[in-house]
Amino acid sequence: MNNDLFKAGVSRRGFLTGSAALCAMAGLGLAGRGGSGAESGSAAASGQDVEYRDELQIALPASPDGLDPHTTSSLVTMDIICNVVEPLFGLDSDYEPQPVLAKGYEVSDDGLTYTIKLREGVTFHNGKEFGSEDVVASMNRWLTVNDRAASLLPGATFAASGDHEVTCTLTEPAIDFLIILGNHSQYPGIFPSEVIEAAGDTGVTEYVGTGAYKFVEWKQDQYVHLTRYEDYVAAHGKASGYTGKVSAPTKDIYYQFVTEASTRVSGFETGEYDIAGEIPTENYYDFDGNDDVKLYTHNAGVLTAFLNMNEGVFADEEIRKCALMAIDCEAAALAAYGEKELFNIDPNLGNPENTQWATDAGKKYFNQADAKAAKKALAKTSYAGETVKLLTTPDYKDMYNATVALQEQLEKAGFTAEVDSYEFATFMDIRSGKPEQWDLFVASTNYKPIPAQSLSVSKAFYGLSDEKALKLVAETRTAKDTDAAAKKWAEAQERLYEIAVIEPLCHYASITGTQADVEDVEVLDGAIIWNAKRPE
Amino acid sequence: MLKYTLKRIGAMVPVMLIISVVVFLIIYLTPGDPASSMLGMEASADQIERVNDSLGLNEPLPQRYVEWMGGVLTGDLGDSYFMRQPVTQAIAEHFGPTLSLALLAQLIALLIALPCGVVAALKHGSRTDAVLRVVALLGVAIPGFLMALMLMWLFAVTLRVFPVAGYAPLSKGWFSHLRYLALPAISLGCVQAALLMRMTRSSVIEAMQLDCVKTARAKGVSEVRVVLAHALRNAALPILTSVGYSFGALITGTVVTEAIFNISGLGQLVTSSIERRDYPVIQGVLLVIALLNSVINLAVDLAYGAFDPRARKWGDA
Repeated sequence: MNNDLFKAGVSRRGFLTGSAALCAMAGLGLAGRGGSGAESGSAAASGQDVEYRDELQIALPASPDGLDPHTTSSLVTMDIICNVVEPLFGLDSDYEPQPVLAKGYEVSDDGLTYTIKLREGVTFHNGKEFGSEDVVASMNRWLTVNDRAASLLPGATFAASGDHEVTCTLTEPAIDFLIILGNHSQYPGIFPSEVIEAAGDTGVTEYVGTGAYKFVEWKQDQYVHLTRYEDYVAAHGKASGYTGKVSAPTKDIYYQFVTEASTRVSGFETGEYDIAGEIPTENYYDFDGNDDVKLYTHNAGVLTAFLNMNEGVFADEEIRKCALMAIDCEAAALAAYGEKELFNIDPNLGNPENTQWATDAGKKYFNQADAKAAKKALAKTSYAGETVKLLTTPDYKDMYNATVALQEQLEKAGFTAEVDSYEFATFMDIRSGKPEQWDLFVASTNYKPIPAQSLSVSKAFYGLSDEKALKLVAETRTAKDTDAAAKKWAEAQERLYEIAVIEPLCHYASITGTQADVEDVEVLDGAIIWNAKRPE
Repeated sequence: MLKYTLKRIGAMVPVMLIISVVVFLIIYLTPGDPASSMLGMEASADQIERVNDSLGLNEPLPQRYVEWMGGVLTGDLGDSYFMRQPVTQAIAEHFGPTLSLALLAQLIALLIALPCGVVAALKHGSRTDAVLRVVALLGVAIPGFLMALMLMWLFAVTLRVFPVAGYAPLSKGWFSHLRYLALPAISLGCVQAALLMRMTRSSVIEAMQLDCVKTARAKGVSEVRVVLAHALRNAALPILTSVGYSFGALITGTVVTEAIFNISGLGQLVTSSIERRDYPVIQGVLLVIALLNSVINLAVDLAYGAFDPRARKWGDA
């Protein structure tokens, strides 16, 4: 496994010649920053006046199901709308919360009241000056209509305590409050209060924010067009993740929705798209020796096997332990992603690069890959040859291929296993509503910034019903400080391994491509393009 | 003729009614639901239930059918769950690219098929005929998606003559419009051309045996006139039928081509709606497609009269 490849954004040629290693060694951190930084530097160093294009074409792999960030968790939506609508706080490239529309904050001694000062002189795209009434309207709506927000901050409310100051009152302390507010995947964007008031059941209809880009047009299933907001007032500080300085050097941005992967790759290869999201892993090596493009890979999520601890064969903990004993993570990951460079075997249930939460607790149970021992242990359990039902969907190739690999591994350990494959909607239907029809399923899921949001601890997602584990997870949010919270999470992770309900098969990479001369793109959860530019 | 036309239009009503019931049942009896697709991988059973409830999907099936049909009869096909716009508007927006693509593909098919079919018929049994028949066979045998990918690879990725994907509406100019449509239209047109060419060849061979052709030749009419004015005219009915079916297939069967070339037409609308379980859009599009097919068939039948006076007579009977 080449970790440099995982961390650095580099051109394929650059990678081959070692410049990727240089970027990584220079401590430039997360994906993309190395590549773009180097590129910028070279343009500036040339001493010539560089003319930049007025337009960037970005190919995305899916159409958004809506552009109201309060009511969806779609990453495609967030990638687009974060250019238009800004939040109070955002996460920087180290996943630390930093102010965006906020200027600063204070928290009461009991941890229940946050007083947030707002920036002044910021205007919405409709000309209205941004103030506390907009924050109160937007945040209270977000806390109501966003399921994640409602479950993480139950009973929380925002109130104005000045023209540019708001107070948030919590019902119980939450040390992760600012991270939740800054999390890209449950985006609490601030709209003008009148837009929030006009929003009906179908969500916000006017996409007006304070961001560097204004919404122009959304052509269903085709594209979203954004244009630069000339009166934009940028936050201070160096650009980092979803925070810091935004310069919007390119006038028009087109997000093109190209669902067919081969078309997206071909369009990227021919230069029609300046940036392309989710390049399929099987195309990774197609760009070998291609100086015209840069590929950015980063840990994007975790491919996990979830076991049904409530019904069927795996309701018996001893049988579950035998199953986990048999699982060879690397073989399953290879089946799913094909190349070792595109995944990472690690016992973390969350992002191994998240310095606050990463832990290897429970690693002795992880990736045992011992079919013989599993078979021996299975013989001592109550297992009588019942069929283990492995639920999957061919719509997600990685999930399907890993499931087929697990079937083989379980059968080697003496299980009778069958793969039940359905198209995605039916897969979802069975997974959530018919637990008697599955014993194990594999799912690829994005990282969450706090463990309490992780699907590996979700009762709703796969029926986790171990009280001890659930209690430990809850305590990660009410611990007295971050160290205590991290300790609780380590205990929770170890507990999940002990009761054998989950196995993180691998951490997979997402590949974003840009044309080699595109500058200042940063890739975190997705491509951050508000500082991106491309020479004529 | 008018009576015949009205009778044919009247016959479309029960057909559409049956189609509406079948479409409705197939969609609602298929497992999976829109809420699961809307909420994604992480949705809980409670959330899914709540959304299904808000979409009215927990109401009894007959009640939902009656409500939907009530809307259809007043021209309201409902609202898309995902696109947050009326289905009629979504269909109207996606119909343009499909129609443009189908018309261009049909034109390409005719330009290839008619001359090649006639030549193959006139030279029938010769080496030219054999070569043309093999080419036609290849055209039929090569799957449309393969043809599309090969054209894309050659003309867009390698030679970079045409864009890889996308669609430019007519408002962006004829040149741009045709440039984006060229590759998908050629890939569709070639497949249809192969089918039409085979039909043209066999029809013209048959027509060349007719007495009127022999008489024309005996009268010393030039061979070109014999072929165009007599043989081709007599061969027109089966060719016209094939063109009708072919156009129907192009309007309704461009799903794969639209996906490959990222053209946001009816085909892509229906596939993405099936993936998302966007029931009102699936129902609306299928109903419109069924209606279009019926109308195309009717138009072909009526066009018979223009070529064959006997058809006009049958219509009046």
